[in-house]
Amino acid sequence: MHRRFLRELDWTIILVALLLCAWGLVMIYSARRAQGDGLYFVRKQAIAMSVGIVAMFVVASIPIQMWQRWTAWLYTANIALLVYVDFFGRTTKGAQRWIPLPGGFNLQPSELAKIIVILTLAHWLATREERIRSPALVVKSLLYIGLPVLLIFKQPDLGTALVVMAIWFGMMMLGGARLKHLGVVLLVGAIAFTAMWHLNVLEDYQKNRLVAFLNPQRDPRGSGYHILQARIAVGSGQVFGKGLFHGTQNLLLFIPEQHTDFIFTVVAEETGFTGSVTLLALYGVLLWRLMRLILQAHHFYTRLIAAGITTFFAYHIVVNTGMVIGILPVVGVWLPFLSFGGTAVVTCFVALGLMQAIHRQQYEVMF
Amino acid sequence: MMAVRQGKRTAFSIQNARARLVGLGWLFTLLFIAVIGRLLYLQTVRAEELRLASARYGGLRVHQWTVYGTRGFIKDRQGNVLAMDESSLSIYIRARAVTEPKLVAQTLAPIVGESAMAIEKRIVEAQRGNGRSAFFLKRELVGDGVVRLKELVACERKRLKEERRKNAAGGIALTSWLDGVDILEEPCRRYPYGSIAHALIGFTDVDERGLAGIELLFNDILAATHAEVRGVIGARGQILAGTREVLGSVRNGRDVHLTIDVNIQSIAEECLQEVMQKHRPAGACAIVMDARNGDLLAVANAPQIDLNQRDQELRKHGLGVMRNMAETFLFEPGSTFKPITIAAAMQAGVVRDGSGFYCSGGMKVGKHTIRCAPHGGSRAHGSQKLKDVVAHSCNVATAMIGLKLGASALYQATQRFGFLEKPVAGSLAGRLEQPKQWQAIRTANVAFGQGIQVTPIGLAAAYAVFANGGNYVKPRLLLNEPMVTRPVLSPEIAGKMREYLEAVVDEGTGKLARVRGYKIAGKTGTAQKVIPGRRGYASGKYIASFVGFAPADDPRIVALVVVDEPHNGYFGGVVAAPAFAQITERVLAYLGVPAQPEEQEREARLAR
Repeated sequence: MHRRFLRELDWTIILVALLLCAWGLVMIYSARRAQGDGLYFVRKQAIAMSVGIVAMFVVASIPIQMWQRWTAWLYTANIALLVYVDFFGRTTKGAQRWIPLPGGFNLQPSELAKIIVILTLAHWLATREERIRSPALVVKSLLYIGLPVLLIFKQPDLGTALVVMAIWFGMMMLGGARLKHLGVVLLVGAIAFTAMWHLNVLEDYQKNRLVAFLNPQRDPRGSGYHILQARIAVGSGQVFGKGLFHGTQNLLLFIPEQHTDFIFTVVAEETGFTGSVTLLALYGVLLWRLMRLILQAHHFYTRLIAAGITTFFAYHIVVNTGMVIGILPVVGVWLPFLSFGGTAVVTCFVALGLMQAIHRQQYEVMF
Repeated sequence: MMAVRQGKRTAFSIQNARARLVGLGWLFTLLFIAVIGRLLYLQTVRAEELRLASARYGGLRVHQWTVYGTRGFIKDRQGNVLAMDESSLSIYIRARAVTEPKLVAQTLAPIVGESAMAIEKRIVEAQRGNGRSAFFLKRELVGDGVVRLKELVACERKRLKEERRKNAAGGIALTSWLDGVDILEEPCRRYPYGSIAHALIGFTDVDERGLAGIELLFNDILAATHAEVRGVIGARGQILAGTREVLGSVRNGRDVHLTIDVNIQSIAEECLQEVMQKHRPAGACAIVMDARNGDLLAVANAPQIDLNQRDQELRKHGLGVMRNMAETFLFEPGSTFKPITIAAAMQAGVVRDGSGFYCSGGMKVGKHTIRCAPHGGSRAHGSQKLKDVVAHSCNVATAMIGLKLGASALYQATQRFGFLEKPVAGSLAGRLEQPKQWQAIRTANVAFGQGIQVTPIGLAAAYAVFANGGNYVKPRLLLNEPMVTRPVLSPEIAGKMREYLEAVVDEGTGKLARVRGYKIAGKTGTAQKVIPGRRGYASGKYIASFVGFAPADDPRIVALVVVDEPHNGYFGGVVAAPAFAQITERVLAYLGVPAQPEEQEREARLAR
């Protein structure tokens, strides 16, 4: 690679991401060791990480404005993949989310959709920059992302649909939409959610999760199960943790999905408060660097991308840790770089690649 | 330059964006603080409680269960199984985990055979902390109950499965009578022949540890080793990889092959039953031994109990019923000991076949007088040959012979005949103190079987010496034991003794021991019972015995019957001899020993 290219990268971000990845591999191993397939998962994840890292450098090397030209293609591909997965995808745990790939890997279009929505919405808004403060544009922008969101919601994948909505919110907010309009959207959203609840649009499990969140003791063996067991895992970690590979809640498989969405319980149980806060500090550094880049973005388009990606990471980090420790309801949101999941990791690195491309832009001005 | 231009075009300035970004930054910071705060709360304030919960739920939710080895079987010489292992169910209640005490009680009451009320009360009490919180409601459930219990459990599991499927999303916590009720499969001991050889075989406790008889004596051989398997149980009830731990190893016990023959054993027991009915004694025992190699073919004790009903039977009869009288009953043999004295005297050359003795019915030894038992109005046996001394069971003549032989020679004879050793595992040795300070009267008494204690099996073994040509053969109980023999008498003297003992049955005190078609040799014994722990004898309490062998000129079996405290007669010749005859007759027939034609002729002559 060109020396200049390397110099233009934000190495803090890369370093933090790699540290998180390494930590993640250890945690995945620990979470799966009871089933005896720890190394299998670690290997798979490591391959996905390598693919992601390569993808990050490739994306970073592409001038950020190039993506604007591909907006239509991206949007179409996004819809196509989501439709495809809705009809032909692999069903796991009641949801059609995966497209099988060779080598035992699966593509999860809803993960890629997060990035594609950021790129396409950014372009869409950038071409309507001066109208961003009008209510009509707010409604239209919602319609613009409405199709992918509905397709994701239908899988069903409420968590990802909410992520996309959060990304929209962040982009609109930092793009300059009026707070009043955004407030109205939130209100309408809340009303719509209540309506869906009563009109049975939501799946039972989604409702149960929410009810269980509000009162996990109601049914400790059923829906409140995740929450209670996760709380026990976290709390029993105490200040310094039970030690790497000495967690017991994970051993007993009391926490389903522990290597994916609930990986934070392993961190909390095995490394305690100390480890958890260290991890959060790493995420803090990551978010701080990303937020800095929002301001460094010189174009409206790139600023929107930076805003979307930052919101994406922040939402994932806060909501995941929040749900694991019981201050937010359980919605399927993974922890960036730590949770097992190939498409997720690749998506994260692609997002970082975009941020690197934005970072590189500031050098353009100098020359 | 570009940046400036871009800025101009933007209605929403970079400054506004910065302000909002700062706001958003604060929002994230607050959320981070909330997360950290919550972590701090969970991991410090509630840490202890949650750590305990972790340990309780699982943490180390170790499940332990036993993999049982099979205890060895006890078999007779033909391979018939006398004791075996069978699988049984046990119901274990962990009261605290029971959610439906009433339902548990109602469901299990008919199987356990207790009232539902009682069971429920027991569970509820246990839940309140009275008594043990976990207990066996039933152990060693076999037969019908097993099938019914298995059905009930299967039925309930099916119901739970269906309910769970129905309520998959609803998450209603299901309760079941199975909560806190463990059905464990355990081996239990079964005795296919029930009461046969009960005291010999003995029994085990519920954990299959030998408690009595062979089960206890050969526990080391029979005992299986069990392995405790431990594993950490996960949420789905699975044993987690890498946590499975096996403590100990499973090894099946080895079988014990007895020399007993179930058929001979039951013959002996049936005959004892008759004695029990006719004479209502405190107890009785019988031994049948192979005269040639010492194999114990029957070791029978009465009264008997069914080993499969161990608990009820023992409650009814007391532990004494398990006493193996044949091997552990110490009694004064009385007249049955006389042939030992006489044979020893012959072997020592003190008396000869032709020696003559005169009995006036009594004899003064020091300050004491020895008397013969009254017979036909007189105690005196008059002038008699050695053979007559045995046949008539003359005390006076035997005392004379004993005195002639001398104390230490008599004691040695007792030793040589094996009375003072344990013939088989679990038996007692006879008792006789060293002859150093024996007075003459003591020697005289021992000579006719008083002041010496022997066991039935010891007595039978001693008579085998006469039966097999002068060798002492150690009785064998296990088929794989080596044969131990030692010469005691010369074959000639043994032959003479057979002749004398035949005379006992032919013309002496043992006429009731006759068996049609066979020459029978044997000796009656009637001894007063010693009051335990005191000098002197209990009045009216006797031990009647008969020990002998057949056929007299080529003995195949030695048989013995000892009856403790008989009623309706007490003479060995009356109480024990008929039982001996019955046993001998049936056993000889069973063994296929041909009847002797010349004996039949002789009998016919005698009858005329």
